Amino acid sequence: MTGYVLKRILLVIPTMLVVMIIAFFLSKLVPGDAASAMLILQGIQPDGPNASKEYERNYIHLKLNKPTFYFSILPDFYPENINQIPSDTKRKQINDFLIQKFNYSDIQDYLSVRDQITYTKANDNKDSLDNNYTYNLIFETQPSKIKSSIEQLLKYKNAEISPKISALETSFNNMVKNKSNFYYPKIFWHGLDNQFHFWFKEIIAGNFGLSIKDGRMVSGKISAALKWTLVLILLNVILSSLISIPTGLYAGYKENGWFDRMSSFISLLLYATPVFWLASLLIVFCTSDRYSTFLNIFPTPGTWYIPDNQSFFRSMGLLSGQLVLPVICLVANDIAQLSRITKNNVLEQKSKLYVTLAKAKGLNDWVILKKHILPNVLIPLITVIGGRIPAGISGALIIEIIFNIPGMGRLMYESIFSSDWNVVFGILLIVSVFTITFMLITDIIYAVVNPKIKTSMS
Amino acid sequence: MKIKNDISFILSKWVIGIYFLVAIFGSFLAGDVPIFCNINGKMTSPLISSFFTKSSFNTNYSEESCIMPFIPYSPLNIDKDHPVALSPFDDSKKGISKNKHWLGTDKLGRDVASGMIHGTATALKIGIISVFFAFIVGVSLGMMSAYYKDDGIRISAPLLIAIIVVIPPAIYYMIMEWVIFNPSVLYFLSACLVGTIIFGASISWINKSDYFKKHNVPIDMLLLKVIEIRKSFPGIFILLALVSLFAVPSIWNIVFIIALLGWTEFARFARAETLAVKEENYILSVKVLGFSDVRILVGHILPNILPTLIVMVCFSIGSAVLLESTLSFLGIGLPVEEVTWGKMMAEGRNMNAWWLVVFPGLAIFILILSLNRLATGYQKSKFARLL
Repeated sequence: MTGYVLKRILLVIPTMLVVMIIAFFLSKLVPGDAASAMLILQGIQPDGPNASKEYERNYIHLKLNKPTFYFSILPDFYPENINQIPSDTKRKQINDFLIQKFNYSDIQDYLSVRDQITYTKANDNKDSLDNNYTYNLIFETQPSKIKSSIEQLLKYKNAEISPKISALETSFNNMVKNKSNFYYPKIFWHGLDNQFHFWFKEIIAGNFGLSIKDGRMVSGKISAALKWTLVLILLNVILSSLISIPTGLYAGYKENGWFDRMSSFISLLLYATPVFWLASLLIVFCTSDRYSTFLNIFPTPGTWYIPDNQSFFRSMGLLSGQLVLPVICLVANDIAQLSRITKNNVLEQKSKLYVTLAKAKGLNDWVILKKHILPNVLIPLITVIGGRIPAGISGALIIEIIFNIPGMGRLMYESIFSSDWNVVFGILLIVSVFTITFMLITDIIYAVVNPKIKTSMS
Repeated sequence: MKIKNDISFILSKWVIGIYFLVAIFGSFLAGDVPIFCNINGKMTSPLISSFFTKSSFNTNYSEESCIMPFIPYSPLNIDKDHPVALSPFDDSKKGISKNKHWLGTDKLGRDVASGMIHGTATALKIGIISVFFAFIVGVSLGMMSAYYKDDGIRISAPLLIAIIVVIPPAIYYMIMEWVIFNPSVLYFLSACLVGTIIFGASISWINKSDYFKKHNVPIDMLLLKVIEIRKSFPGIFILLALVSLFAVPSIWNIVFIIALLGWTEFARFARAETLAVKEENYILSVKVLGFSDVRILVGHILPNILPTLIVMVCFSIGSAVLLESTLSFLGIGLPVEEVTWGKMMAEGRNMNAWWLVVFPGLAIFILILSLNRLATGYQKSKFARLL
């Protein structure tokens, strides 16, 4: 038994690692990077006087100048680590040039000559016509447009500038000439000093970074939200099991009776009902007296103010009225599935030989159901209910958003809209780890309870 | 019980058929472009010609000489004559039944019925296309992994080395050329497809020689691992995270993501079904006859697991539609000009307007109900083996 448990736990570790790697790379794909997000948090305008300096400071502070992963496989004309350029605009320009397959060293040559010219020109008189072309050069990465700008600049005879322009032309021509249409992939090994390693260590220590919305720790925000989600899930699981297991048992016990037909009809309807539709209907009709005064029995969703220094149960008592509608919506969707699965299990067990034997012994139907069928039905239900709990987080997401419950789903939703990526991927990771852990626990409990697996392992 | 005579089964078939018709011929039912016009004695159809020419219809036609669609409003047009947020029961102020808002209007004065008709096309498009791709990828991988298991595909050592030398660089160059250097996902996908076909054909040709010792390729284990990883990302959270990565919202992003997240379920299901069928006598006898693996898989196993896969297809179209309307209800991922059921419901909830909640929700509810009924009907019918 312990061997089985250990093996299951060991098998989870690679999955966990892959999940973390996927979450990390997804978080790297988002528009914008963490350093510019920090600028927003610091209250620095992106076009302000200090912005670029502050950006570079953040960039190095957040270790974004490190390579992304342990290794990288890049074409041979790429630099080993493009992240080490702290300036945002320069990095993007170099990237634009690289995408056109120019050599990195040539790009560097070209950019250094260009920056000399633009720097001297910027200190010159600003209104001359050739200044326009130099300004064009600063932002231009398309070869054809650069070429035309240089040609225009060459027309102006200026003792100070002309040699530099011709140097620029040679470096540009050199860059275009050495364009590498053919390349081979080059593997760079970066060692442990990379962003993923750093991020991984922080995550293991429970540090998900800062939320750019209010500067709080992401872990603190998530743990504050987690308790509401857990309350919803627990209420959901308990209530839906209490309703659907007896229903399914009785429906399977008297198959094709009036109760069976009614419950399967209702569960068919409930199963097809979108959760957000039910929630919207309940909100529209039951929380305001616009359509009917006698239906207006529930409070308006959204008053989730919790007084400070209240015990958990006291605040729950204060908010229990608010919880009725969300729990109804959650339970309605779950009982449809659970009762159907229970009924199918009962029907499956009823056809087994041990039930026939029990009947032949002269036991009445009720005793057979209670003593013989029920234990056999409950064992597979462990897996089903265990699987419902992580799925319940997903189900709770939309309910939390509709009813303004400050849980994880709502936090994720709001963070997506405010581009608060640390929170988004922190939640994604936590929910994934929660799911994996729950699948593991369910498997282990199933193995402990189910005698068949026990004997097959020994 | 014969499922063919079951009234609810027949009804759900008809309902789904009607949904399809509404989705295809939505512009004939609701829109502001007339179907037929009699301009200077010449019969023209501005609606049909508007499909071919992208230019918008110029409105210099008289009402009398044209046959308008049944609901003469396009879902995006704001009706200036009527007050905003009109309930279906209180538009008695306007007597002309031709211009009636049958299901009311939203807060900008756009017609709800027209929006619902045009939302059908969006919902079905997303549902069917995403399920189609998920089906193709999932079923082929699932069948292969069940048929070959971990020891079915055997590759000799030189070929294995050749594959290791050829495949990763090929993928690398493809990604570099068509994703990084000139972004063109279509080229990338078509190159993937062609590459897979050529690669599979050449491997099966080369691998026929028995000169070298062969090694197993554990595709079943790999597939199960991928499915496990997919399962550890909970549904709507990963969906939201992926959708928010795209800078420009569009329908195709959502189709891509739903297919990406959904194929594992098809793979799991097809794998289980194939495992059940694989050991049956007719497959064994076909193997003895020396048919090729592709012929057995496509010609003999697929037709036998198809009826049960259809059950899965019906359920997944329902859940894809549900995901789409959930996303649009949340206001994530779909472009602003796209009309969807979920968007109308979100508005109705914010405004406490019952007609905006009840009717679009009813459309989703009836569609999913009939899809589920169809699925359970197929499931109960004599073809279904498992589940």
